[in-house]
Amino acid sequence: MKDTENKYASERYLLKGMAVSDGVGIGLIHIFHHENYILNYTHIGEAIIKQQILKLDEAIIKTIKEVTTLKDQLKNRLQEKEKLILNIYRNILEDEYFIEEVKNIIKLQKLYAEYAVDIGFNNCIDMIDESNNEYAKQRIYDLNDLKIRLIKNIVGGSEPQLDRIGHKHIVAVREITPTLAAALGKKRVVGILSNEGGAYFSHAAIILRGLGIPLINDVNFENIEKYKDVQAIIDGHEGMLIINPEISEIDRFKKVLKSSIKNRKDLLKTRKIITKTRDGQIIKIFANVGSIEECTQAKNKNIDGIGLVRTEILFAANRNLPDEKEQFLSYLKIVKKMRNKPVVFRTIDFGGDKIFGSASEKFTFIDNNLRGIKSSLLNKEDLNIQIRSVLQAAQYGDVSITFPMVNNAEEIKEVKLLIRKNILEFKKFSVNTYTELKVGAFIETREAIENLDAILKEVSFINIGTNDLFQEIMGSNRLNSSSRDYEYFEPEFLKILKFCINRAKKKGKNTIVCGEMAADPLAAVLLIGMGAYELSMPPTKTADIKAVINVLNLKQLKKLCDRVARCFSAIEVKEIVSKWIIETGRDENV
Amino acid sequence: METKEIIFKNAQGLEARTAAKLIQVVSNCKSNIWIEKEERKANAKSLLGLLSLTIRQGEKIIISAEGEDASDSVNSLAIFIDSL
Repeated sequence: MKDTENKYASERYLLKGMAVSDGVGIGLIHIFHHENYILNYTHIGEAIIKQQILKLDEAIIKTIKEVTTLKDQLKNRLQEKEKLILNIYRNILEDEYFIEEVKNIIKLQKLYAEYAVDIGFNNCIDMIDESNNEYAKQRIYDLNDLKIRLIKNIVGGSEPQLDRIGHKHIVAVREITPTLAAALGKKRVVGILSNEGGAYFSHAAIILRGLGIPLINDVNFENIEKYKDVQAIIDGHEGMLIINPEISEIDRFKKVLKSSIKNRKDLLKTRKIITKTRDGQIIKIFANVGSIEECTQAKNKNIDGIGLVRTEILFAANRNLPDEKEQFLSYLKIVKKMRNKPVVFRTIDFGGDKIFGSASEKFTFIDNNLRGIKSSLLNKEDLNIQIRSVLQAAQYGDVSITFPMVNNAEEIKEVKLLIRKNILEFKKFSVNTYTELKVGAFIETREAIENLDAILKEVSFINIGTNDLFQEIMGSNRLNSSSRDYEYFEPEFLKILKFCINRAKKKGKNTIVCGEMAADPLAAVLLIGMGAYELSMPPTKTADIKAVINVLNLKQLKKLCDRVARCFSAIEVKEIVSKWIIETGRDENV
Repeated sequence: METKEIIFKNAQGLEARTAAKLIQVVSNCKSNIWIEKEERKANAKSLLGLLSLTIRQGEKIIISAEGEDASDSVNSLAIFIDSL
């Protein structure tokens, strides 16, 4: 090749990679080199074992400090989800069992601390690498990142040289790691090009998406090295880098840049107000909680209510099912915390996994046919206590009760009878007028779907537990491993969900979707398109889902659902939806 | 020694953030607790141990515990995993 330095500096060149984090920008390419550490593989004498262990302890403290500082500095720009990633680094460094293992390597194999750390981490990395779990493999980059940080702090290396990097740079790296992503984010760089480490679900990518910094992965590092200090446009939507762009291109991208900044500001504003699609459909975002702490966390996210209180988790630490008063006080705390926002309590699934001493004595076997409401009805004493407690808490807010694993309308009729009986009893001894309790049913069995119309007649709303329903309907029909992560996109399963949502709507009843799907932006989009306007998810996921909903157009979404209905596989559905979302996001910016 | 066999249901598998929460759940247990998948066994109080198991949806795992609150520990961990 006759390439000259001069040619690299002036000729327009287009480079494609994997689009991972959105956004566009113009800047100068900066080549970032990782520092390499040379490990000392020699054995150590008995005399310095103690010193090496001390060195390890000091390095751990120093690394924790570094990670915490990084997190604090980005505090206002990152959301909970992204902060959690940096918390996990801390959790690993505080994993006393792991650290003990590393110390044992120093002691027993008589090795330097840095080499012991290398071995300890590599043991885990190898195990993860051997698995066929592509999702878990993304974590290898995190472990490598942490390993190198820790080794650096043992051998006394310096922080990566970021002094020369600033807001004008597009930074090219061989491997992007979460801490490097955070550190570059702190510098407000224009964008990042990585050879590896930046796959869509990598922690580095999640952090950069949170910070709104474009990232293109799969960019050949050797190739890009030649373009040091050359001007380029990074386009994170397309996964495209235009090196030495033409003036007209620069002008066009500057316009896009302006509108995307405005959009990002709008997005931040909408975090607080009600969630609705661009064409005005209000979507209620609820939280699933299992403790009062989670409830507080949820409330801080400005959600519309609690869609599911898992009462079995609430009392998981208790030896026995608490008595009426104790249960009432626990429920009351949640109801009061949420003021007048709706709270849905789900009764304990007694037959599932044995929980309390009292319940387990009665059920010495686990039978899938004897789960949820069915087993509760055989265990009426405990069920009655729970109903009474919820009923009393309901006098202080907007409270509903729902039952797990409902199979038919008769079960609902029976619990409603219990509720009515208790109301009458309360009225006898109290001046309060006891209001009726809204009753719901978890649709998560095959039988429930067959009896859906009859069940709908009896309830005020239904919940769909997508996880259990999926197991029940598709459980025996497992697909190849690569599609497992997205299996709920299975067209046959989506049809069943749509059927449930439609039937409920016809009868004028709401559907709250509570499973894993509601918390996955791609799946949530489909659920909304199918007409489920109430989604309940872990509090940590609400911000992401809200942000997605704000850019949706319901009419287009319905068309998407029609397209998806003609798909044959989960992978196909997932691909169509992700493509659609990326396009929708882009339309927003232009 | 108390043991219990369960199927891991969460669609995302046992990912880092969930594993960190799991550790919080078992941290109050006095017993030693392990999670076993195939021939591998990890301490349920060790984040790296759990991550190395790479547990995903539909896989069978065995929870075991040894100590004064072994039975409660196994049960509450099973409930937690089931609730994910």
